[in-house]
Amino acid sequence: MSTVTPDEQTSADSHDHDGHGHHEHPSYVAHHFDTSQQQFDAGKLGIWLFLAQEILFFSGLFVFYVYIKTLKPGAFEYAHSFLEVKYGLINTFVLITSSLTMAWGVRCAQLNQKNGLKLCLALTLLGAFGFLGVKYVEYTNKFSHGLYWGSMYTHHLGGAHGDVHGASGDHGASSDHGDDSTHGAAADHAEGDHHADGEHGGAPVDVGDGEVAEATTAIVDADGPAIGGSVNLPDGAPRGGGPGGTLGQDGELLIDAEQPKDADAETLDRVAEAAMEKSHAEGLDGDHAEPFKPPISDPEYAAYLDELAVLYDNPKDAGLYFSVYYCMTGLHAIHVIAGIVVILWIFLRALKEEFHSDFFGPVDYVGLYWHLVDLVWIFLFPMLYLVR
Amino acid sequence: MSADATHAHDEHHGLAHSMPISTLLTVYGALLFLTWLTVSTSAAESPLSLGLELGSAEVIVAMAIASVKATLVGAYFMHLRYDKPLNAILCTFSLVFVALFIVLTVSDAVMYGSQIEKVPEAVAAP
Repeated sequence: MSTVTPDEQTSADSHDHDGHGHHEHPSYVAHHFDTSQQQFDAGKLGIWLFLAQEILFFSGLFVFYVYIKTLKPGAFEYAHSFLEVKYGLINTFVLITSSLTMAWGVRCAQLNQKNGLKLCLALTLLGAFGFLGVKYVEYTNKFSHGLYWGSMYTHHLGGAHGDVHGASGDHGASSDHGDDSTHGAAADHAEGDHHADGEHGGAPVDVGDGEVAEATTAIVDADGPAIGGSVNLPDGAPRGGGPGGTLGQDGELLIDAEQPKDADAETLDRVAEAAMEKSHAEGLDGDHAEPFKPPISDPEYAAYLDELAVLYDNPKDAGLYFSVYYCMTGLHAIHVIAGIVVILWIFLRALKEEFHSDFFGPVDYVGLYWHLVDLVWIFLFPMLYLVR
Repeated sequence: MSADATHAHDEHHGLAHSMPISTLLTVYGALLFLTWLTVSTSAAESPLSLGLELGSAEVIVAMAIASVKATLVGAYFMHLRYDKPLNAILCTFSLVFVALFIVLTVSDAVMYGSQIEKVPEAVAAP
């Protein structure tokens, strides 16, 4: 293996550095350091200071997670079930392996194994791209089912709902329904503003004088795809919504804090009827013939999730979980991309054979950053994918 | 401060301790095992699951296993075990502040969460 030893570099540069009295000042040691050891140690301290900050940076989002989980555990549990463990597992495996190759690469640099260093860095890059690839698959999978963040969350139990709320995403424009005068302004749902117009197009279930509890079950068990989050109760019936919920303007189930301002029985009935006619007339979009359900095989747990779904079938609540999810994994993915950039930079320098046993600091520091990215994922994985 | 000092370092132990491959591979194996452990003890549905019902202890178990993994990565992959202690002290210090951050915020949420829930309807009430 051809190497440029520190000796050669030292003697080559000794002429240039006579001015400040350091005769042996290799080119790879910056002027303000006395020895390469001091340079290395100082750099290490520097990168650790940065990592300490990064830990605190991510901790902000961890607090977000813990805070929302404490206040809205039901919404969390419902929305969390949409995440698939296999993707998380693949990503964990990929990141741990890339951490190994990175640490190995640092070792190669320390021992002057130039080819080993190049190979290890290349493998680490491969792992990083693999991670992003799996993330891409995951995200597009979720977007196609309307599982967005915050108030853009559009996934609902029923196909009809999914149809109308498809303003943001792949399900085709809500402008399809814009012609119908009864159902204008469906695009408002992109802002999650349920109360203002009440034209949801959710297929109501006419339950006569049944109790709300039965009505909610009916929503979940409806035969055929025309199910949704609204109920049509006769005038005299109490409009309570069951545990912690009330009925919104169009009969959709809202949680406690969401008292609608203009709840009017007549409006409710009129709107519900019109929605019913509309969904029967139009049938359903092929994509939403069946509602997308969380991939759970345990039937008891699935039934429990269905109950939660009715309660939290509300963008503000279920969307909260996805806000946490996208913020945390998104920020992590940004760090992975930044990691790719710096590893690529180090890789190019390694190709030029810049590193050797007396100068491998940059490889070590980039390695530390990459290990931190791995560390954050080690915590993200159980928190998002495994903990109920 | 001359060539002597630089050369002496090269001859004796280099700028830093280089991690033996056996250590790297052992830690890697341990990390994979712990990953399997955390998935199998969780309630999540996967072919690896052991079907344990830990209930609310699940969070603690998952976080404990994650902490062990983090310690392994930190001590070995990140060299903290063989580094100057200042680096490890820095890292621990920031974790202390993270713990403070989480604990205080969550205790706040638990104490006043029920009152916060009531704000929207108080605002909306006529």
